Amino acid sequence: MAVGRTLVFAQGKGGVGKTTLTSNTAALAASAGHRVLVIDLDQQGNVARDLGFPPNSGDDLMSSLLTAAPLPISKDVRPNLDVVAGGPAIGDAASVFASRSARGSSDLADVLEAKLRPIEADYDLILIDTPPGDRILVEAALSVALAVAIPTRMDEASIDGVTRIAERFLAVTPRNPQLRLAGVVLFAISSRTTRLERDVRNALAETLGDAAPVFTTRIRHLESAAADARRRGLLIHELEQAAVADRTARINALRNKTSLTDGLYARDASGLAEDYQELTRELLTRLIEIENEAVVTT
Amino acid sequence: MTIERPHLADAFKPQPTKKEPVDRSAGLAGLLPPPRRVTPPAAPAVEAPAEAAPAAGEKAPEPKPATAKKPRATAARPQATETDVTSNVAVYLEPDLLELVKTARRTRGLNYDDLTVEAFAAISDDTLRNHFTQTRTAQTSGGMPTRVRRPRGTSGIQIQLRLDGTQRAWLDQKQEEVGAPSRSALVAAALRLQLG
Repeated sequence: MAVGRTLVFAQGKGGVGKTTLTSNTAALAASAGHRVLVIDLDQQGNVARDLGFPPNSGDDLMSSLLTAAPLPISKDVRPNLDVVAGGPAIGDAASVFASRSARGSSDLADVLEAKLRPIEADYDLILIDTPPGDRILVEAALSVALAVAIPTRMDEASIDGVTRIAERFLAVTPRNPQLRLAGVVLFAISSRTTRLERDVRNALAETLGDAAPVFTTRIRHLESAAADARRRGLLIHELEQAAVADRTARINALRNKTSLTDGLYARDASGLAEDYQELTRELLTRLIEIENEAVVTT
Repeated sequence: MTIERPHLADAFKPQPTKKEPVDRSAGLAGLLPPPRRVTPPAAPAVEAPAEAAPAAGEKAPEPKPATAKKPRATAARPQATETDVTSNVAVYLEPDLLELVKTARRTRGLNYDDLTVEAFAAISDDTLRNHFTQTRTAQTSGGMPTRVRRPRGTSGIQIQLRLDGTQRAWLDQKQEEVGAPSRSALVAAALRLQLG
């Protein structure tokens, strides 16, 4: 059963933007005054990198899942934004919980629900980042979610990944009938592929039928900003401001006939920041629509 | 001999418009009302740990007890009853209808909100009521209505209307009057009947 207002980013393929979308939409929602919790269930633990704190081993989260300890929540990583950091230790969860489940003990979904239920009222929004290929972790996340958003790039392999999440979705539905597909997010889209984007949108709309929309906002491809963001631990809207400061520093360096040693690669991240702002608006609006539908049907 | 060079200080001066910080949280405040409290049938029983917790290596950054309550966000949230608060209303349009709406917007210089108001002015309640009645009339010989399935490939694409409280309340009332399943379906039907 869904816990609070939980949204999961899931995709059967890696490198399609799950973590980046999780971090950026969470931070934007938090900056607007909503109380947000991010849970990183990915052993890569890149939410930490996106938010600019040191990589985590994931031991504390794993320990919490195996014992009666509460989730290891790092408070106020940004104003209104709390984080449960993931890391390599979470990679063990699948095998540990598979054997526990085989013995008839609580499975990971039960444990996650039990951990989240006491704190659901503390947050307006809970976002979960998932690994691409781990069935047990993904299904546990979907078991507690109100909705799942599927990011995809435009290549065939990424679009195939949407199908794999559909399988996970079906597996979880008997356990969590509230779960809905929020929609598909096109990620890292080049501005020069308008015709391809249109065809991919149509193909996805055909695949999804009436289940969910392909979000109007797509996240543009800006390699330099992606590199800067992770290198500096900045979110894209923060990078937008940093790029302005960087430009000033560059000009001052020119004036002083010195060189800027650690400048940004991105000169202007405002377009990308705007994409995230618009997508966050679409996602939150869609979540409320799903929530209202759930109330009507119950 | 010295070469006269143009004065470039102004050219390199940071442009004030570029330095203006953009508030990316604009338009996001108040979108999420406080979550509804859902009382689950019973919290799943998590078995007591049979084994000791694995030794934690690297510590998570300042983990604190999860039950510690945070002060609520201080951002002002619009009250649902306020009629002067404008907020986004999501409407899902089928791809062909979206094209029609976009074309009308482009050719006539109107925005989505204007087109919606115009559609409701032009379409009568009876027409809307008939529209929604027709979509639900399919019945089996046993009398049980069948579920109306949307054709494949016609899933909605989201647009946003900016509506104030009075407009949202009007839509809710109209939705009830004509038997529309949702606000989104109501707006989509009006636009379809007007532009289709």
